[in-house]
Amino acid sequence: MHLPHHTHHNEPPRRSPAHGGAFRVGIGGPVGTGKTALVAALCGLLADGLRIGVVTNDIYTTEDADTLRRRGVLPAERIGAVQTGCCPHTAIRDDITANLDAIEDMEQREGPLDLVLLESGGDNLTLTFSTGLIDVQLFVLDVAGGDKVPRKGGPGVTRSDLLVINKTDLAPLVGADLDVMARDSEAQRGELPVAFISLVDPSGAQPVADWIVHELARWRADAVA
Amino acid sequence: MHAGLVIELQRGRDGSVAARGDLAVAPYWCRWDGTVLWIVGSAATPVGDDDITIDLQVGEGVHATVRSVAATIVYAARGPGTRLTTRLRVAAGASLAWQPDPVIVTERARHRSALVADVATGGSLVADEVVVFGRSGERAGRFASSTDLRRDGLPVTVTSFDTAMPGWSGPGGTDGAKVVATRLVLGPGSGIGDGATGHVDGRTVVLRPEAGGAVATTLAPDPGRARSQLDAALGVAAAKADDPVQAAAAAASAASSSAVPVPPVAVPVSAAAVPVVAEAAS
Amino acid sequence: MAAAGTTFSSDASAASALLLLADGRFPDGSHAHSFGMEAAVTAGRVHDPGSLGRYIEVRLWTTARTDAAAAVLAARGGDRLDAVDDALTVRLPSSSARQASRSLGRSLVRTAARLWPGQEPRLADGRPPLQPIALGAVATLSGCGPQEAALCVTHGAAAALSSAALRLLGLDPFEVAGVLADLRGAVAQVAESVQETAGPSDLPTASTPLAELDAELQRTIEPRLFGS
Repeated sequence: MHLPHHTHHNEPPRRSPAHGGAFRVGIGGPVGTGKTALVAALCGLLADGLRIGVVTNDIYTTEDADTLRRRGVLPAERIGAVQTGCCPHTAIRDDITANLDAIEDMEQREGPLDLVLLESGGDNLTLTFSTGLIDVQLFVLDVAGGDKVPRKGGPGVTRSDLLVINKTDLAPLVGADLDVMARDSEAQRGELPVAFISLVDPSGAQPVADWIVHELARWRADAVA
Repeated sequence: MHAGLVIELQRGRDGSVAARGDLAVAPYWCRWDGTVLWIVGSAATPVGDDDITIDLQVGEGVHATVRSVAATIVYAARGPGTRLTTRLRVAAGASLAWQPDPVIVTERARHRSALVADVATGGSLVADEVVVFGRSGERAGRFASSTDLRRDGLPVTVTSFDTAMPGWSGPGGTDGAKVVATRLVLGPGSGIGDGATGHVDGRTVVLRPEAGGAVATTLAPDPGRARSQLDAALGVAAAKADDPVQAAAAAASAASSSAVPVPPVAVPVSAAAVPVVAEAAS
Repeated sequence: MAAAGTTFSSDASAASALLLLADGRFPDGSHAHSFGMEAAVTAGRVHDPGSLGRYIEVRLWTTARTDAAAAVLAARGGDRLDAVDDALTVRLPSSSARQASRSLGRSLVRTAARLWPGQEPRLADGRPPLQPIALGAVATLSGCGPQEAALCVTHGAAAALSSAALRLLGLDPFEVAGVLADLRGAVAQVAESVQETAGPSDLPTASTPLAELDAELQRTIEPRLFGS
């Protein structure tokens, strides 16, 4: 699947790769849509070629850390957790210092990274990442949340750099019409890309992985230009 | 009333440790039995505007424990209230376990307590302060306590508390606890390794100052439980033969709930300071 | 307009600088810290507006007062930041509290570096100062002084503690606003009381057993919702 890339018209200024550091991808979306599974799948697909770090704003317990370690997604040192003080939107939008610290600390400890995946802790359709924190943002919805969600809009649906609609395998079970979701998403997003995926097999994340690799290359090319 | 005890414990050429200084200053006197320095108050003190200082120097190679014979009951204040200042100096290779009995602050008391301790590198200190807020069924008066712990003259921890602070006995202060006990620990052989995070639970916390050592604070309904909570938090299980400080701390804790032996020889109380040199003890 | 008996500046630009720093929206990282409140709530000691008010009050007169005095010294600029930092460090026996303060100091230094490049406060070895000291230095950069710096610390302490409790307990925000309104006298008095701090060795030393315990207890809570 070829995903179109966004244009920069009327966008706020982006972080410059001249600052050094990793390409930062924000991943937002309601709880249960599969953000964490997507992060795990992306790490599996990309870790061979890229040095990856993950920062999660979600509630992160010792149990979560143990699960990730057992699954071998990434070494434990490349997964950081940030407490948001029950203000998940603030931490990625209004006051991003805790997340900046976490990324800086990880890069200082682990050496330069190519890619940082930053998972939000909030689950609301109004969630949006600050461009001071990330370079591109994904918003993850799922089919089981209902086929009317894209129609509701919100900045995650309308302005995220990539809208991911996950769990397409469940569509027949929940009576969701993927065509409706595709049409409504296009109405909300225009030329901005939408990816329909299923993570029943982690390789289902390949279109998203490819998109990230392409965006990363473009971001680095912009720095040189 | 002013009273100033000055005690120096020094190892002599024959290896025995002698106590020199102003060991009897009415109404206080001390007895050194070779390992324990007993401090006795023979009148109802502190009371009124009593201003008491205890200055103790523990010389090189000396291992000492300080005990009091009974709890210090702070009685009704007059004027500025009562004051107790303790200055401790511990030399290299020496150890001191400062373990007086609890201080009981009665309802009409206004008491200030200050502990200033300077421990040389290579010296060890364990210092306890157990404060009981009021006798049974009684509220406490005012009590302020300050601690200034140094190593080689450089500050390690400087803290204080004051029951007059608004909200002191509330959810951010003591949560109504009857007893607050604090143990300072500094120096090798104290059982506190560098960099270990301290124990913490709902009643007890072990803090690790930046420059080293440990400060354990606990809230309890009575002094016995306060001491055992401190012991448990600092991991003092049993006296170790090669660890004089832990041994002293454990012995003092074990003895605190049992009858305190009264020193056999009564030293007459006199207004003049009488230097007393204890019998040579090995 | 300055009321009789206070020494606060009536200069609108100093007040405006203070409002910038004290605004909860100023990106200083503090929204993610509970300063011990998460522990107090988990332990059940803070559970309603009354207990919240008592908790904040004793913290204002102890830990916040010490921080306010450190901010005053940093804002005044007469002492090396390292000397103030060392003196505050020995008044913070809790390693968790030191870590949180250093982290928040770092956040302030980052913000200062963006707003006033090259002038952000640092210790001699390049580390960021502890939070109240960074704040005092930033107060000067922003155009206010020691009085405002102290107020920023005391107000900030009350606001951060109450906002953490609000979120953790779902308290009625009008009741919480009432708690803060009742404490505005204490916020001001504590800030005033440290204006005459002579030097680093004169920093206040007062704390409480539970202030220290809550700072350490918070790191044992799982899942932790706040950074400290």
